[in-house]
Amino acid sequence: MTPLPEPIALQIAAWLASGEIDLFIGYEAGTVPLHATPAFLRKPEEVSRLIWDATCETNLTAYLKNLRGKKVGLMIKGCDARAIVGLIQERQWQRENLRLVGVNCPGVVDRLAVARHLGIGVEEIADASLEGEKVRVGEITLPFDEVLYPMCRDCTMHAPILYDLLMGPEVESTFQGDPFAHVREMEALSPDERWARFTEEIAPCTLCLACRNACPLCYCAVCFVERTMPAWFTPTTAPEDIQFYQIVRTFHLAGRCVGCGACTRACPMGIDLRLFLDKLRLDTLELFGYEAGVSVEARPPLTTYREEDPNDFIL
Amino acid sequence: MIRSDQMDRRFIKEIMAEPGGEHLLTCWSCGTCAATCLVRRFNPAFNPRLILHKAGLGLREAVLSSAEIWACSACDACYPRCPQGIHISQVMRAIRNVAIRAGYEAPGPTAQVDANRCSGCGVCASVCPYEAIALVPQAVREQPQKMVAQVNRNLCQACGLCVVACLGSTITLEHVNDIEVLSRMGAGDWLLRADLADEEPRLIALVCQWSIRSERENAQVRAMDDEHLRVVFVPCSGRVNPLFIIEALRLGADGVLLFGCPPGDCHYLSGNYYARRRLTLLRRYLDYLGIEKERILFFWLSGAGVGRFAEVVSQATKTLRRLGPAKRLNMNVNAITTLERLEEIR
Repeated sequence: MTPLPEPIALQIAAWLASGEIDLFIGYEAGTVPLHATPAFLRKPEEVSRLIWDATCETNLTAYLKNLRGKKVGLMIKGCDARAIVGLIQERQWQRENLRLVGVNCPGVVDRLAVARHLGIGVEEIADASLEGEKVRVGEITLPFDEVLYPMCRDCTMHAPILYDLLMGPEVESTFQGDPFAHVREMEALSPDERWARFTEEIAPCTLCLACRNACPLCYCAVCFVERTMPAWFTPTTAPEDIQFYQIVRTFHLAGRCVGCGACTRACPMGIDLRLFLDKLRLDTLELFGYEAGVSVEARPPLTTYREEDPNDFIL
Repeated sequence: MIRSDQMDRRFIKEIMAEPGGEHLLTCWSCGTCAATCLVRRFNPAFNPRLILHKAGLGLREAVLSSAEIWACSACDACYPRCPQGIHISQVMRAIRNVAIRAGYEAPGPTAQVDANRCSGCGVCASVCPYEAIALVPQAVREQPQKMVAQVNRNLCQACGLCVVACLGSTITLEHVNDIEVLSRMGAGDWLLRADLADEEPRLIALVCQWSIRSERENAQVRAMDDEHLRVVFVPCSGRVNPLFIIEALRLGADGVLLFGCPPGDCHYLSGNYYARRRLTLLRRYLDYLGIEKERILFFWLSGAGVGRFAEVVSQATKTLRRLGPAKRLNMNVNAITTLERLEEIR
């Protein structure tokens, strides 16, 4: 648990004091071990509550969907910054209404991975803390690299691409491999194996909709899940309904998903939603040369076209 | 009967002063445009020759008050065939501009926005081929200056590209809304019928209403709608929501065929391009999840290949016969397995 560097905290306090922002969203120590809680500050004197460390996993940009029209400051990691780009691109936010404290993020701790290493349930983790480059649970210490979220291990966007203030030492990306290796692995399977992989992966889903709520880009006022006339979706946990929900939610993020992994981290059942979203990210990159969350000026792939778009599958 | 006192020379001048209206008086009234016009299949009252003729006579009231001047969707099928080289859609636009200034409004139907739910993302405006949608500030509930999409009814051609682009289903097209398309796809529970002894694949064809150019083929296609093929016409391949395709598989179709106009030929200028991008992604995505991509097929149809529809359907049927019935996503199959599972438990 590390408080924010003083100059940063002072600046946030100054923003709040001057009314430049109505609200600052950061992280504070929570009651769940190895998991910082989002903190919502309205008064300058509250900034002492703010912390930053590898337990600050929440993508705070997801809170922005309920705050439109206000002036908000928030802390963003490298991946969260891409979501901000998406929100600006889709006219949900204007840059001038945001004050961004960017963090060079070395990755955040996956509590499920910690539990797995210790062979215990995630709710059984107690007396745990970060100690330098290690995670300590009771008497046992685990190396940081082994308990990171998979998306943090493959991360190539440690530094935020837009910010007002930047904190934390620069993190060099050590990841050299293919960020879409997991997608290619699934692509290589036979159709029957792929269907089995998909259905087994999402089988534990309870339709709690945490993935949707944690996603900064799932901001529709009425989601297809709740829509009537037509009611696309029957909210039962029958496998076909879960399959439908997962297919449509992920497809609604085609060309929009910035790959922040908030949905996967939010899933209480540990479903690897990235396996499906990354396929769409890979395809938009390969087919249309588009990567979401990189440029505010770029046109999202489904809102534009080129005459020479891939055509070979059309008979 | 036309009376000379109804003929207003100023009206002719006004049209000709509009960009695109210059060629109004070069029309010979040969009627080639009306013979070519595809809009006439759905709106027989629309006759471009007659409109140009009346406008050329200066019949202000008759022209401006007619509903037909708004019907041209600028597909430009007539333009290359006009012996006088008149860009007729441009003349139509010039006439409409005069009408808008005189306070006339297009009768619709148009796309409609639910301002309460609109997030103001502007994706509708960026895909609209007619620049009919603008983001404007509007007082909505607690937000005095919420940016919401607004449809200009004089420019909207009700193609439905915006309806599909809007992920929050905030924009609707009353006459071809999602419910209507869905119910046409599954009407009569034809996919539930178990009395079909044969294992013939059952297909849903979503057909752009403009892609079949010849009247003869149009009649043939309608006649092909039987217990193995359901033909559902949509305004444009760009009106096909990816959810229609997923829903078709859920309803129990073995394959979904989408028919659109080839690149450059879209009646609404660009709908097929958006459809192509969306379909490319959806097809590859479903294939990735194990739903064979051969079940979702996309075809270009053009005036050049009469009879192609039937050919394509029999080809697709052959492919799907090989693949066997679609079980994945199929709600009926899943319902049966659930029942069987319950039986076992009992």
